[in-house]
Amino acid sequence: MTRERPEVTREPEEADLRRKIGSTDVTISRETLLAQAARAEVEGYPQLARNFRRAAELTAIPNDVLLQTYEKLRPYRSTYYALLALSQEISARYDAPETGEYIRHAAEAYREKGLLAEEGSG
Amino acid sequence: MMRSKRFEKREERAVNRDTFVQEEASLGLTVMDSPNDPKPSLRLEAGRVVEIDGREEAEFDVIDRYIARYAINTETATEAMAMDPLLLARMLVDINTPRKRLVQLLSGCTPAKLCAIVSHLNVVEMMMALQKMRARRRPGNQAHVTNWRENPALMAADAAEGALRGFDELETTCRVARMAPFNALAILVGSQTPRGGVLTQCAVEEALNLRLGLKGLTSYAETLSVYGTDESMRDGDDTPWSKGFLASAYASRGIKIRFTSGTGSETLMGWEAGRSMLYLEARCLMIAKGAGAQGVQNGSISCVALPSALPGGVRAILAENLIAAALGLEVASGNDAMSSHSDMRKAAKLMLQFLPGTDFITSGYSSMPRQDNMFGGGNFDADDLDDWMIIQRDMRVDAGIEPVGEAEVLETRRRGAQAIQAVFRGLGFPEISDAEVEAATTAYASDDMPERELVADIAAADAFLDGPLTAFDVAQALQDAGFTDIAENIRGMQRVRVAGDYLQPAAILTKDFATESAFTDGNDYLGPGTGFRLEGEEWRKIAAIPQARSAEEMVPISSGKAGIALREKGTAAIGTEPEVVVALGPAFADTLDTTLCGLSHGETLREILAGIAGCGVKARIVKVFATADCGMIGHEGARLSGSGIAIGLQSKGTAVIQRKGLAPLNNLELFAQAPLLSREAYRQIGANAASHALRRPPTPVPVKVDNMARLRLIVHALLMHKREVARVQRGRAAMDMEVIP
Repeated sequence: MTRERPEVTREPEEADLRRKIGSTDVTISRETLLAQAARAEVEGYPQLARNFRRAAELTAIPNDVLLQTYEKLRPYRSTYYALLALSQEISARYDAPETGEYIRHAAEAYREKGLLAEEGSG
Repeated sequence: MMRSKRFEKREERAVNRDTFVQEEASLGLTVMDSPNDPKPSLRLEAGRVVEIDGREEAEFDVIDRYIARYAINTETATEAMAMDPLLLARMLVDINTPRKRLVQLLSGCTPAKLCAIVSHLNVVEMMMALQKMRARRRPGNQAHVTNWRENPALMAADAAEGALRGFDELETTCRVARMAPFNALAILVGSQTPRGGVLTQCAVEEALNLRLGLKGLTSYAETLSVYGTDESMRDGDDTPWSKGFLASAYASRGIKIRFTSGTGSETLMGWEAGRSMLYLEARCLMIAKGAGAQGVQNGSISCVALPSALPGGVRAILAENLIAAALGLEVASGNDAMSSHSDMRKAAKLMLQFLPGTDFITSGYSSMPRQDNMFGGGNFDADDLDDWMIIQRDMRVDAGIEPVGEAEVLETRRRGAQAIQAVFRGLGFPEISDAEVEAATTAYASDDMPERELVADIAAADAFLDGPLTAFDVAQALQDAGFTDIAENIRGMQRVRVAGDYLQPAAILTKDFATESAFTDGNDYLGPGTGFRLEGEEWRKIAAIPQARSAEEMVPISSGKAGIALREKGTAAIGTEPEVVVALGPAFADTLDTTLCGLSHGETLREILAGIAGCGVKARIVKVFATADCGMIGHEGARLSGSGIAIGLQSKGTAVIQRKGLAPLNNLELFAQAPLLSREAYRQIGANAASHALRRPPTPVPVKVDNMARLRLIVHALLMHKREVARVQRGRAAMDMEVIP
């Protein structure tokens, strides 16, 4: 398949883009992580495979959201409903059902074990 | 109290500066098998884990919930939990049970069951098991690279040397947190200088850590600490879920991670609830496994002194390495934090991982001297490198460090420092001077480095972190300055992220960026003749320590510096005068010219002759060709001597005073330790021989006391004796000799 590539004007643009987005032009893709997950499954590493599948989903999530999500999962940071909302948002907005489910499990565990933020915060 | 001087002396030994405490389970001072540890149990209901180690689902704590939901392999759980722990322990050691089968079974076990299994093993059995259960076929190693002044030229030079020495991973951290971007940059550039493919990390808090990774400055992280009780986990400001999320977050950016845990941490935090350290560590390992971490660094890590203070503590640390490996996790097996004041005790502990081999023998070998180690001092550091490499050679073991020569090290260090200088210049960071490059090349420690303007460095590091520059710009700066190979290696480190192969368990990269992991190069040890064997070129490299010299170098062929020249006068006859015969070995002042104590043959012989002459006795020099044996040389001399007294002198300096009629292996006086003799001793040997001839009592010969002489000179002695033996001419009669003036 060919497509038009006006090389002369494109090169500086690429360099500029790369500067703006950091090294994301060589960041691992969702497909590659899913392939690594499949490999891990075959090798008898189901937990590693699950991690890679969640990672595959997280490739769609911007850096700042990624770090914010981590912060919200730390103890006493979020209410039960905030975590459920986060779970739904991640799941729907980034096509990340496994991560969404993982956050929902956390919400349940935190509710039963007292790791949630006070109502009205988080 | 009455004191024993021996007890008093021993109290001064380094090992007695270590702390030792008696077990007390209620305080968490038990490494394994605490009476408070639960009994193994597991119950499944419709594929769900509803009981772990005596606790029902309703009573699960946070960690139990995480382990139940994510970690335990329910397909093998029923089978594994029903098996006798002793049988599973035997299977761990059995060379006919493959690693894969054990990983399947043990992944179906609870923490208490894992502890019950390893509890049956002694340390040798644990080592055998670890040799089989290690994830990667080839053992590896990691180095720490830091310096107190945070000088980037020195850091790059140290990283370059680390890569040259064969470390698979390099880890740095900071004294001043804001220097993190420059430290990460310096070890990246240094690490890719002598070869490509060395993984690097900068241990800082998670958000910053991830940002460094996103810039392409680091390729792995091992800052994900977990603890074995809910309370200690909470004090660490995390939950299993938050750490597990972080693991996926790193993987989503193509960054390798491993978790960190280790015996003793919960006890130190005050939240061990009376459980044994190993039981809590088994829980940590199951969190790591459940999170889908590819591996862990464990082996007590920074808490090592605590389990080491308890009985069986060092065994328990090996047991935690083994449990991690048996769960299929990569293991970076500790040996990084200071574990003892005693070198003997440190080395003994090290052997438990060094000999069986782990994925990374240390979680950070301090590549610089202790004063520059910003991880709190390394258990083994730059000063210990030669010991490490000689032990590898002794044991024929690859423990992940290659011997390299001084010239090659200096060249690599200079190039690493020059490369970071070029990067700083190219990207407009504060200048690295030529003087810094030179100092970094030869430095012992950061004290040897010129001062830098820390304020300017910090400002530039901040701007670098917040700005748009990435590893690609670093590569471009290197390329512009002519460091094309290093530029290409840094680009290579970015490219490997796309494939993600180095996210696989126990992955490291070869110099050509190929992945070696549990999937591509898994440990296939099944007894003798299988698994990783140190052979061929790899063994040759480990054996070729720079200290090892050739036989020719150690004992050069006579260079004509004997300080004396002898000439044959004719066949020696039996004397008739009251003389002392000085009978020389066949290589004397011929193919050898110096004795083991460093005297030339001329000096040695002249002292003996002077000693004889001093007593008014005549000496006759005779050379014996038929034998190289000291006793036999003396025996032949005595047979020829008019007085019946002779001195036998081997070319390496061993001497004997012999009397006619004594059996060859009997003698009047023997000076068997040639390295301990001296001019004075040889003169006295001459005088004593004369005294024997005059039937006067001899005087004791002064001999130095040096118990290490044999150890130091045994190879020299052997080589000199071989030279003497080579000059033996069986059947040839002894000759009278004269000194050529």
